[in-house]
Amino acid sequence: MFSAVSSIVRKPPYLTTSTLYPSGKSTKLRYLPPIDTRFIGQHIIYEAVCASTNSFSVQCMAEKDLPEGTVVITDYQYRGRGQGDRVWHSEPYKNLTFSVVLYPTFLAAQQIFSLNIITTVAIKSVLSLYIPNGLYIKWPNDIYYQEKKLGGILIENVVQRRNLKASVIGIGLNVNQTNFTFQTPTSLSLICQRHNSLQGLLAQLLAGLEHNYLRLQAQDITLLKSHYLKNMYWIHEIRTFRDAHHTFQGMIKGVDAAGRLVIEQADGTSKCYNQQEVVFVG
Amino acid sequence: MKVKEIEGLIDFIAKSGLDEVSIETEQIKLAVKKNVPVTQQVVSEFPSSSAPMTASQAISGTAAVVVNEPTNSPYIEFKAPMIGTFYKASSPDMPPFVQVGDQIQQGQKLCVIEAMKLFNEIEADVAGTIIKVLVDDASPVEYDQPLFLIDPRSELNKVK
Repeated sequence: MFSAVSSIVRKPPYLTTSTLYPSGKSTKLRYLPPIDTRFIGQHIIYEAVCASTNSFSVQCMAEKDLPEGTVVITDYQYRGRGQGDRVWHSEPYKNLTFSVVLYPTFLAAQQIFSLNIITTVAIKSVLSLYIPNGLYIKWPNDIYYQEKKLGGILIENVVQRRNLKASVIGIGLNVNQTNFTFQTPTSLSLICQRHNSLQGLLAQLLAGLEHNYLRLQAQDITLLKSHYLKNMYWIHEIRTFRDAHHTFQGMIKGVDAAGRLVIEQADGTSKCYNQQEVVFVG
Repeated sequence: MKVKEIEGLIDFIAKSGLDEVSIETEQIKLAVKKNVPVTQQVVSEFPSSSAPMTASQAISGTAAVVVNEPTNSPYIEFKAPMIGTFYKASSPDMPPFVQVGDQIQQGQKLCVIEAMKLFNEIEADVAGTIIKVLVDDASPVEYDQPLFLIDPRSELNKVK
């Protein structure tokens, strides 16, 4: 259904079973307890090591039909994909990196931004159980704690005519990792000062996502949209942005119907931005 | 624009004494010429109308309607199903999905439209030959913007 995986990425040679599981015990993600959902997470594909769960999902879908709600999960993805050429870095068996396969054929391509809304709001709601304050959704679909990135989402879809045919929702969440190469990311354990169960968190996230997806199916996401807007990073704050022409002061007002970022300019007019058209400066 | 509105417009133009009128909006491009032979070709659909309009419905005694030039064009414009950035390949290091001259099947991937960190592979809804790629790689596209010109009268299609 999807075209071939974009490039052949070789597994790093040092990744053997003994280095991945140093004490010989297998990870808990291989054996997950039953998840309390109708379909999301009822079929799980576990792959100990893979380039990225999204790419692996696409590969599996090309080989056979996957039931809706299939979750592809790995202990270690060594080439997680961010936006464009960026890479999502994640230490083995410390974080959650997984993909969910859905077939939202009821969704028009024009409304595709609602996938960002249902996913980010689901993650934010679940994480609020762990972190009561300081969680934000940075447009379009990053999860932030204060000014640091906690999680990222990559959604890949196939569009047939005017509707969606298939979606792979990829989620990467820093959970128990404490050492980062750069200062910008953070993790749940750094924030909460404790180790967290990946299994438990995964079960909650899948249940939350299913709940929101069913809402979307019922065309009932007004509340979800307002949650998204209410929790947007920098919403209603005067901040500095940069676009193709200049650096400027503006205020995020929300998103338009297509999901473009609406920023009110100094002169009172509002302008809509696609991704990569605007940078959050400070 | 509904058929009745178009008929009304043509009537108005016919009575106005003008020989030729050209109107263009987001939804429709309408050219009306007097004393021109009737054309039967319907070239492309309007996004908001539910039934295709035929030229014969809109013709009055003295005027003919040409809808969306060129007349009698066999080509189909494949339009963007969403707003975003158009990419001709799945990633910069990959070859393009399709090129001019390629025979394509229904369901074949034509391009990627990226929007708000949502990556969307767009499938063809017709089979045929790619005549022209109408947008540049990595350029922004609007909803319904024509992306490809496709000739559905390919040799394969004739066999079907």
